[in-house]
Amino acid sequence: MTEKKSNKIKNTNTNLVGLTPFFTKVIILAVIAIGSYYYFHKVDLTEDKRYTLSEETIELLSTMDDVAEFKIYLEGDGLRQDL
Amino acid sequence: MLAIIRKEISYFFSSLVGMVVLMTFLLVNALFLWTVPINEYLNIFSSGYASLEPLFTLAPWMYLILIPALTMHSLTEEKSSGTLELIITKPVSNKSLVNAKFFASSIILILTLAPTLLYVASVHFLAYPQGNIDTGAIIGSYLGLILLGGSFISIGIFSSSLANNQIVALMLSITLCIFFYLGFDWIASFGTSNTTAFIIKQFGIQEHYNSISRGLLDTRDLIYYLVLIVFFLALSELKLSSRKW
Repeated sequence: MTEKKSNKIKNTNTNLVGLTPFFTKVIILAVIAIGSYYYFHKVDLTEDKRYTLSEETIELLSTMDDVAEFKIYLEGDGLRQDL
Repeated sequence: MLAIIRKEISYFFSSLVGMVVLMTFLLVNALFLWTVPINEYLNIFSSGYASLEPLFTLAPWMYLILIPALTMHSLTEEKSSGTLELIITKPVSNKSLVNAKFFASSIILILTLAPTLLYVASVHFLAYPQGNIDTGAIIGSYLGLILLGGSFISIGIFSSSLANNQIVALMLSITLCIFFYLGFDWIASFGTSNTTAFIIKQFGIQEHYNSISRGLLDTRDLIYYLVLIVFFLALSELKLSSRKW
C-alpha cells in the first residue's frame, strides 16, 4: 500500500510522463505492421472468385515449361484504363 | 468511458453537429448517385452498371470534409471551456477519454452508413437478372469505408488535441487526412523507381482502401488501418499527458 502511494507521487513529479508507454506502443505497432507484410492471408469475397487462382490454373501452370504470352483485344467506350 | 460516450453522442444530436453531418452525407450521396446526372460515372442510372462503386468513390471525399467537422470539437472544446480539468480530476485515464471520443464518433460514422444499405437494396432490385450484384465486393467496400472513416476520426481527434481553436483543429485534420489519403500516392508519383513507389504507397490510406474495395480482404490492409488508428490515438494520449511536462 505504502509502496503504491510513493509510486504515484513519483509519477506526477517525473518529467515527460507518458513518453515511455507511447514509445513502447509505437515499437509494438511498428513490429506488427512490418510483420504483417511477412505473414498475411487473403480472403476473396467476390462472387466469381476473381482474385483467386482456380485449381485447374495452378495445375496447368505447374506443368508449363515455357513463358505464356497473352494478347487481349478490347473495344468500346469507358473501358477501365488500369485493366 | 461509457458515460463519456453517451455524453458525446447526446452532444452530437443536441448541438445538431451529428445531425448535420448525417444529413449532408446522405443528401449529397442521394443527389450524386440517384438524382442529378452531373457526372456520368457517379450517377448509377447513367453509369449503366448495377454496382455501388460510385458510392464508394464518393464517400471517402465526403468523409474527408465531414469527419474533421465531426471530431473538431472533441478535445478542443474540453480545453477551451475548461471541462478538461474536470474530467482529469475524475478517475478517468487519458486513454479511456481518447478512446471514448473515438468510439462516440465511430458510432456516428456507422449511423451515416446505415441508411445507405437502402442503396444496396435498390441496386439489388434494379440489377437486370434481379439480385445480380457482387455482394462480396459490397461487403468489402463497407468494411473499407468504416476503417477509412475510423482512421480519419483518429487523425481528427489527434488534431483536436493539438489545437486550442475548433477551426484550427478542422483545418489541421483536413490537411492531415488528405495527406494520409492521397499524399503518399502523390509522393510516389514523383518519378521514383517502381519498388520505392510501391513502398511509399503502402503508407497511404488510398492504396489499402482500393484493395479492400475490390472485395479482397487482406490481413495487411486490416492491420494497416488498425495500426494507423491506434497510432494517432496514442499520439493524442501523449499530447494529453504532456501537459504535466
